[in-house]
Amino acid sequence: MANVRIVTDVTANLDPGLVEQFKITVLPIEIRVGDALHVIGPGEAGEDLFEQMAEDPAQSSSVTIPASVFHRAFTELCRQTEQILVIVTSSKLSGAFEQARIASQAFLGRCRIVVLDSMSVSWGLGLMVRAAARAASRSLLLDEIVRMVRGILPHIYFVFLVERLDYLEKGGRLGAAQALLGTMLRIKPLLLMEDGEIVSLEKVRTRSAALEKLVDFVTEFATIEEVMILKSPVDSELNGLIPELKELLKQALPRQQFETIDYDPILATHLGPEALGIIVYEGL
Amino acid sequence: MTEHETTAVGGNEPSSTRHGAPTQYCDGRGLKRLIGAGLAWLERHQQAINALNVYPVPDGDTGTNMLLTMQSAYQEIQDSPEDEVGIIAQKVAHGALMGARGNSGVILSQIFRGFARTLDGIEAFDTVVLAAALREAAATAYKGVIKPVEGTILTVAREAAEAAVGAAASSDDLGYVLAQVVREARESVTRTPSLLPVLAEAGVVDAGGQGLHIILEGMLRYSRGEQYTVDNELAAAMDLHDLHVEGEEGYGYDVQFIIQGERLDVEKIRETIAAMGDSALVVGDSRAVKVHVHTPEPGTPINYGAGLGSLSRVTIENMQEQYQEFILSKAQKPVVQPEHPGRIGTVVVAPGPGLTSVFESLGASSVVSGGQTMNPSTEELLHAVERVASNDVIVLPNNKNIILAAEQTKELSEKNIEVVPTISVPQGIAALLALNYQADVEANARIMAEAAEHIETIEITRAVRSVQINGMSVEEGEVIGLINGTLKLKGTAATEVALDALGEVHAEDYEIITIYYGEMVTHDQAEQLSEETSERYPEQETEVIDGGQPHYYFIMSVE
Repeated sequence: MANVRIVTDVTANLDPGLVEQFKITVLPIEIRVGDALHVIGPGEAGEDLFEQMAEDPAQSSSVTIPASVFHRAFTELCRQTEQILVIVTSSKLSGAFEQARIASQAFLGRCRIVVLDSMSVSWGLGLMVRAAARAASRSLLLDEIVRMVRGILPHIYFVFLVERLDYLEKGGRLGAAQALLGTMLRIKPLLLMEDGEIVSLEKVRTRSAALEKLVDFVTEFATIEEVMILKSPVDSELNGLIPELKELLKQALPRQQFETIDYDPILATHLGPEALGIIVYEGL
Repeated sequence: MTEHETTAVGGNEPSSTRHGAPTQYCDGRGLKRLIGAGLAWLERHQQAINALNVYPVPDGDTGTNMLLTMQSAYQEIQDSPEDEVGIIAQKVAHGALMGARGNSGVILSQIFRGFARTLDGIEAFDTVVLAAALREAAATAYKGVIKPVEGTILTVAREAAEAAVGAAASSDDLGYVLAQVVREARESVTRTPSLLPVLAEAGVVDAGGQGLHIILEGMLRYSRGEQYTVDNELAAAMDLHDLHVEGEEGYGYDVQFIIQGERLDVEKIRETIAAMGDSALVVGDSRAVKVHVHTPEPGTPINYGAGLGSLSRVTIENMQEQYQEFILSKAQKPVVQPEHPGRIGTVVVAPGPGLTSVFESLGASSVVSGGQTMNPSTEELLHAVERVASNDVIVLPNNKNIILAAEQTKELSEKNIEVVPTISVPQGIAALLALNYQADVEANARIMAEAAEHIETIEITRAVRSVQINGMSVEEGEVIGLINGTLKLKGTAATEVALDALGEVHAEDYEIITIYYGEMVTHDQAEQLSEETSERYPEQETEVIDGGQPHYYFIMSVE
């Protein structure tokens, strides 16, 4: 029996060499900025899109992968394998999960397709995909891989600060109960992705408090397997915090590596072009 | 709602007259009259006690707070025909507890609580039981505060109780024992400055201690045959949450508001309002009138009031709902609330409409009006806590003098309550911002208390009395600046004192300067301070917000 094949979306932020090696199918995502539809494929930083979004928060809009794109991908893969695992961006942030499920139904009886909600984004999603791909290369069965990914899933944490809340608010991605918009004070909310959903964790007003919260968040883990800092590719006040953030994190956890990646324009439609986040995988 | 109670010395009189035989027992009716007499005497001395406040800031005054607490206690018993002294004492304790305002009010309520505990099940007390009850009263009061301070009402309560014990050992005459208690209370009050240096510096005795002495003295005077009159107007005027439940019919709306204007004719307003409904209560002066009326048509009194001046604190409540709530609460059944499991509710105390909005915008579940000048009662805080639709509630008192009353709600509610002892509005805002939705209520109380400590509070107000304090001599009317609650600066212009205060706290070392301007300050004046602040501290972000707080020109924070 052929190995399980993995399908994911472009936000997984995978290294092209790895995609090649494990034959991962990476689907592009469509986003709308202004009047134009943009298809974001692997390796596209989309800095110009960040700048466009910064000009007008009302313009960028949500994201999906149409079922037809999944259908084509599944048709192609079904010639090579009978087991497909789809791991996509949190269903709370994107329609891709639902579209994949719809597409998968046409293959009932021909090919086993499991669609998993990563309940994460970006590097967090990528981490699960990498683990799944490695397991597949060792010829693990679909059910075993699904179990493994489900095991990783609750151990990935994502917190972030956003400069402006209107992107989240406009996208309806923030619970109304969080009562953040319309606050009379300028605040920087610290947000958390919880069960795939963005929830407000705390609110801070000062740079120093924001830094402290991010550092506290990381250092409170008993163990950390991997950690990644997510930043905007365009200049922002929050990016200015990064050197100090790394410095403080290194002081607290001298043996840990702290690398930085740019988050993608898809996540930017949710968080806005100015956000700073940290994803922690605490390990199993 | 002025009530006169004139008491002749008769069959049930609590104590001896100068010429009669000594009284050995005091029953429920006797205690009721003693409480009434203590209240009446306190009413007459309210202003004098207020004047004893050490701090020259406009604050919830001790005399007023104790009086409101006593009035709430008395309301519980004024119509009670009860003979048993233990039951009357329980009612007094309950009323005092619910109506407790300010730290002195809360301690007074603890005194009544201890007193009632000893009298539980007792028909009438004699001198020995009285002495035991007073001792328990003092002991309970000491336990009620985390760090008891000598030279306060606590000392007076304790020493007065000791005098009672001594006197009761040799006499069964209640009048005699009470006389000894009052004598010792008076002496104890005069000793307070030697125990508490801040009193000595300000040249005053302790206000709370004096309040207790006055209450006891009123009782003694009554026992010697003096008549008293209880004037309940203040309580009725100030207790916005006073429930007026009378009979099963006629429920309409409970309408309350304050008219602010010029040359208001209180008498005329009272007549007009009275014609619009039942239970009309109209009090005030030519510039501000508080109206309270039960009416089937809430619009009528409001329209009338709006025609006379500007309205504030308008509340309309459906009395049928209130009545049901009242019945439920009387039946000791907790009102069932829809609950958001896991969510933490917050009750904050805030003065002024602007600050109320700030707290609401930050997600406060309930904002209780109050603060420096008006300390909410335990009952008001309790109502707010009960109305919040979650089982875990954090209370932010935002004032030193409200913390104890907030603490009382813990024992009165089934809910899981934590009080974060914030002493200023900026501390409350910092604490609320730090609320972490993921953490439980205990962890949050810790996190929020820590956040509150990291903020520097500046308050600019006007001295309400001349006083010597912290080595500074302050004249009434001068602008004063407080840093983290301590008087540090004075001057003639609010803006100038505000800028001096920013210098004093080294605002240049912080990131954000927030200015909440009060109702005495115009928007332009606030802008002017904002500009000067930005000029002086170009590296810092300056934010200006219309706080609308009374009496305080500016409340500022640096963080």
